Amino acid sequence: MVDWVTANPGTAVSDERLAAAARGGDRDAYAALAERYRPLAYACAFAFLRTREDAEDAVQEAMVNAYRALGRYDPRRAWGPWLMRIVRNQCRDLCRRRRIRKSVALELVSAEQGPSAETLAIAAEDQRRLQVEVAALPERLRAPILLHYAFGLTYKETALALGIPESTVVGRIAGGLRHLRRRYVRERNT
Amino acid sequence: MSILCHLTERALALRQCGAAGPLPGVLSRHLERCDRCRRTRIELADLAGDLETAMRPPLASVDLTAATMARIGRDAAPRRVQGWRYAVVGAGAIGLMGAWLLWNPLPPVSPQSSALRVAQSRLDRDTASERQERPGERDRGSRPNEKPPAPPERPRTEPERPRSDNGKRTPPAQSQPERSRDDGNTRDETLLRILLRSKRQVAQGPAAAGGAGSAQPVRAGQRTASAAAESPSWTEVGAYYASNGDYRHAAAAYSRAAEVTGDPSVAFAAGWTAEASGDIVGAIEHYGRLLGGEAGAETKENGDQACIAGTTIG
Repeated sequence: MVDWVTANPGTAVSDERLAAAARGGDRDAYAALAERYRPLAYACAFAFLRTREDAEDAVQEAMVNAYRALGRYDPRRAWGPWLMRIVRNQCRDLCRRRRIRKSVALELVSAEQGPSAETLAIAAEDQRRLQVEVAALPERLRAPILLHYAFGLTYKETALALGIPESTVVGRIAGGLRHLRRRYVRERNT
Repeated sequence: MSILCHLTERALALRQCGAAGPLPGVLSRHLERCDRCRRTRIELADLAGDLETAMRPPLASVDLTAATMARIGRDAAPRRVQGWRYAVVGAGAIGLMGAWLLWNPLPPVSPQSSALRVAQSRLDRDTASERQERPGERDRGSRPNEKPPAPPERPRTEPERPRSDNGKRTPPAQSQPERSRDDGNTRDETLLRILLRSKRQVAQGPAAAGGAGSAQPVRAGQRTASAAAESPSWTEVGAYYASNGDYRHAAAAYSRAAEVTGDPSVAFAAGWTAEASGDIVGAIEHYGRLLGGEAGAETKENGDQACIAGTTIG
């Protein structure tokens, strides 16, 4: 955990020291950790579950589970990958329990751009089609694209969230772009 | 779309994702010449821009952390890993397994006793000869007073016991039943007891062995002292085999017992043991005979003889 933590204020204390303190019973330390990782965990959960409500449920459940499992955490290892693994497992459990399928659309906020109503309508239609195409991508391509383009995470943070190497993130995003170009751009041009 | 176009598309997508380094010379020269690949480059750049603008996820609620901490304060507490618990549970499981093995010792992997082999071969031979005698229909009433299998021949001369230094014979070695009890093979012991008693009674005369039909099916190991005084019967032999899991021989013994006694419960035992041994035809035959007998008794009272043919199977 390097970029994500340094990009946030109040990260003078390392994750591992906070985790060790939380393990000793310091709830404030755990609250600081939870707040520090809330955006990343939420982004990861949203990439898996596609709706805000499910993502928040998964993040809350994962944070509680991580707190309960603090006794198994090894302070010599990095906190971020450990926590994000719990988040991913929680998302998968939730997917199984709620039977979330590929047909679930992404719950995205509509962009309010465009100078005129006509342009706005066209843009909104394009955006809707693009969202549909992104939602239809397989999970291994959809999650990195969402985390990088929608949440603005760096490749390193995306790699941390998904538990895969950074180079794999780049390759999957490139693959997703090619996939979307074939389906979305060509359709738009025609 | 040539292979160069394909490779150029892949390389452009990677560069769009920030992959460092220039395009290879072949691909850059192809990109200069190919309109399609130039259009691909523009489309990929537009797509990346569209993704950044179009994908706006809803933000997480600000109080998510507060709600999480409230829930943690309410019902969660960090659990410490206590390794000694695993050790205690493992030791307990091993102890339980050991105790179970002590109370239920595994049967010795020894060959069957000679008495059992003799009895089984005798029973096999009798069953085979009986099958040869009845091509289609069995005539069960032909041998009503047949005795159980004879016990195995015991050596008439006792083996020479070793003598001690003062010329006296040492005490005899353990008898066969004792030895088998020591081995935990109580089933062999039971059969031996049955067979030895049978031999003794046969030697005393047919009158002593006349009550060959102890009608109640007796389980090996559950016999009382008064039952021990009775003569061994096919029912006992059948019960022995059934408790041993040898249903084929049990069915044969029960069949004999049913012939002798005419007891429906014994006939039923013959049926289910035949069924358990896989002899479905034999089982149906026993059940049918049982039903036919009962129905026959009823219909005799009613004088309706036609019902017998209808209820008798086979």
